Amino acid sequence: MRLCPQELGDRILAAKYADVKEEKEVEEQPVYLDAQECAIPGLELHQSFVSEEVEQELLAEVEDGCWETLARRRVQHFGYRFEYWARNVDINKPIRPLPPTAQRVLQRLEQLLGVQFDQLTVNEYNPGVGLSSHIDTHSAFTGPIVSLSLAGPCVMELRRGGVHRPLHLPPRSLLVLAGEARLAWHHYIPHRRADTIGGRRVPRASRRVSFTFRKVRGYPCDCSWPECCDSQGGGMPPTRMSLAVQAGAPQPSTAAATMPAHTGCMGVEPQRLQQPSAEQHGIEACNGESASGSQPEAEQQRSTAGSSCVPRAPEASLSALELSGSAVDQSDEHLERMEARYVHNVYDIIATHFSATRFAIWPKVKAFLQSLPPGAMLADVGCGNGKYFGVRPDIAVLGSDRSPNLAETAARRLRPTATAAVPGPLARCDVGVADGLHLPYRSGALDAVVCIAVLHHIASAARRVRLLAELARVLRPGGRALVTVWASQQEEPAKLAKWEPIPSTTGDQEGVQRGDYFVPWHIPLHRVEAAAAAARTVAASQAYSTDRPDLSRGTPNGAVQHSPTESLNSTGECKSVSSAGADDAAKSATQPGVAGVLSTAEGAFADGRIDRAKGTVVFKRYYHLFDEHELDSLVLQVPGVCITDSFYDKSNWCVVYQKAPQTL
Amino acid sequence: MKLLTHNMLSCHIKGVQNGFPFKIDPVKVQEVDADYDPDFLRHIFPRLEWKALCEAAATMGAPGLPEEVTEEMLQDDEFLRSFHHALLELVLEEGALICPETGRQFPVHKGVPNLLLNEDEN
Repeated sequence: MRLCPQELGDRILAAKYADVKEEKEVEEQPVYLDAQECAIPGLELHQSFVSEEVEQELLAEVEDGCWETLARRRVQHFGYRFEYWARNVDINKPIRPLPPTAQRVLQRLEQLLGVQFDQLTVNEYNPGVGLSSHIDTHSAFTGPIVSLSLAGPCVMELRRGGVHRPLHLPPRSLLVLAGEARLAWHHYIPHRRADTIGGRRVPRASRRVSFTFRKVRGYPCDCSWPECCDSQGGGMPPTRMSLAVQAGAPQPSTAAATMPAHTGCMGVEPQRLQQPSAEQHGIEACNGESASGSQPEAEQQRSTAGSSCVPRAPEASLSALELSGSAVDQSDEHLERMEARYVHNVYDIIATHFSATRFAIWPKVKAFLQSLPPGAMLADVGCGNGKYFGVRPDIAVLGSDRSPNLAETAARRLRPTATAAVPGPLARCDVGVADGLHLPYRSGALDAVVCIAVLHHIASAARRVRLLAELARVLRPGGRALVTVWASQQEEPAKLAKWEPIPSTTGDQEGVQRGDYFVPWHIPLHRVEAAAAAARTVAASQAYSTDRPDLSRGTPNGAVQHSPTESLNSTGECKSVSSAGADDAAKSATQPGVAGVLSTAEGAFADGRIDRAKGTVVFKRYYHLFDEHELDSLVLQVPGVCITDSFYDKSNWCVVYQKAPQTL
Repeated sequence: MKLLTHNMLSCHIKGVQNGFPFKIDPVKVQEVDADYDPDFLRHIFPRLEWKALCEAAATMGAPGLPEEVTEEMLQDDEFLRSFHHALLELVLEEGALICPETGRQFPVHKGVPNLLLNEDEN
């Protein structure tokens, strides 16, 4: 290899010599036939997802389409074009829609997975052709990635670190890569002419055609695998083509080169892909929560209590309590309004988007669940989308959430669909709508409670103690609760600076910072939730200002954003809306819970506004960030319990407490 | 909502003394298949109020659970299967939970009970 500065414009020329080789022995590696055997979180394989008739229809629809020829296979794109040089899509450039039969598959996928896929890539592989090992670019697609295998089978290998899990994909099967399987595992199809399945050599068919459905993202990913995540500076080496583009070489136009002149291939002309602007990159991880996502084992854990059941007296307890306002607690009515407006309503609006970002299992929560005996009754208070359901298939989980729409995202997991039964581990889980301060469980019934990232949404110290006491009430003697909250000590202090501090409004402490913040939640404008949320916000704010002109008086200084005067039309452009328009828009919004938001007793609205710079609808969520010892000091006010563990884990304070073994 | 959950629920309206068990008004009951796990049933049994489960199962269209359960029955496959069915395979899709003391109804919609209280019930 040598540099050829003149002839090749400083590019590198490498010549490879190939030795003639005997055809390699097919590796005798056991191939899994069932995704569950692979034991990769988020991996599913649905056999016979489509009938042979639908298979033929799908193939016929693309047979004479506009194939692009890549190095070793042919592809077609629908919805959006995937640019291989950037490994990304241009969300501003939708292309031709999916063919009719593929649309029908899309609808079934939505039923199955609750995701509205909008991009389809059809790949045709000839015998012996595989797919090189890769993870789909995180910033390009959100949610799961699913792939329907048609015509012929293949073996796909999933790889992470040194682990290889080959999985047989028969024709008409649907592969679902979600969560860890999508974000942290490479997938790969070996280039070979036959696979060994169950000890038998199975030649690849004359061709295999895969239909891969994805949902474009258009905003940074904030997943828990930064090492694999392009949004978080990790992961993928640049492509050769992207380097060429950066160096100013003309963009490749693979489509143009192979486009048959006689077909009307609308929308597949090569398109310029906008490089994400610095601003887009600057969007804070849209949830502000990446630090509290699942992490590798916490190296920072500081256990401040042994496992013996002896209450401790943290040094800082009094001052922490004073700071958090218990001495001068505000009236509950005001606090309830605050929570209704800046917690319950916001989560109702953002529920599906929020849920789509919540799948990471925190190791510390998992460890707690694994410490429970078989057959335990667990309450997951504030269960969100129910991501901890099924972690332990041999215990029963009662999930509850204060937000009906979030509870609905959890309930979806528990319903069989037309194509799939409820997974076995979820057979012992259930979900209800309930308030953690008033749990609907009989006293002493439960072996354990988890309350993850909930207590920091409660608006006063006295109410926080009430929640902790309510968790204790439902525990049996000797039962344990795990509670985690966001810490003031964030591992990324820069994040804190982006949050809006809420000054105290109570008399003698006026203006004192009590650790209360508004933390934004951004819904990117291209998300289906955005238009509905914006319309609802406008409608709700009008109802709010008409019906309850006095309501804003009790809110903290500077906290009110009264005039979200913009809504969105279906193409995502901003327009101003009249009152009637907002009503119509709210009615036509497909999200559940529209009526719920508008008809809450408070009449409160969720303070959504449109952030043009970031291209999002942004909502404020109320948070109280906890200082060291503050959580423990609250637990110590709960009668009849003792702290068995207390630690810091990745920007969270965590406590485990136990109800006294004897009935009091 | 499964009867496993029903067995843990109690009406939590302020001042209610006897909120357990909720009466069930079944509008739509669905039967689902759940993996049968005898060990789970034996482990969970001590956590249950058996009488409430029997009554609820009868309301949901699966009568015939025995009133008393002995140690031997927990080893008996036929009994365990009927126990399993009542506990995990009967799902209240639509209907209501009725507080036995006050008569207050909590709706169950699409399998999800809504147990939020009104302001004056806290």
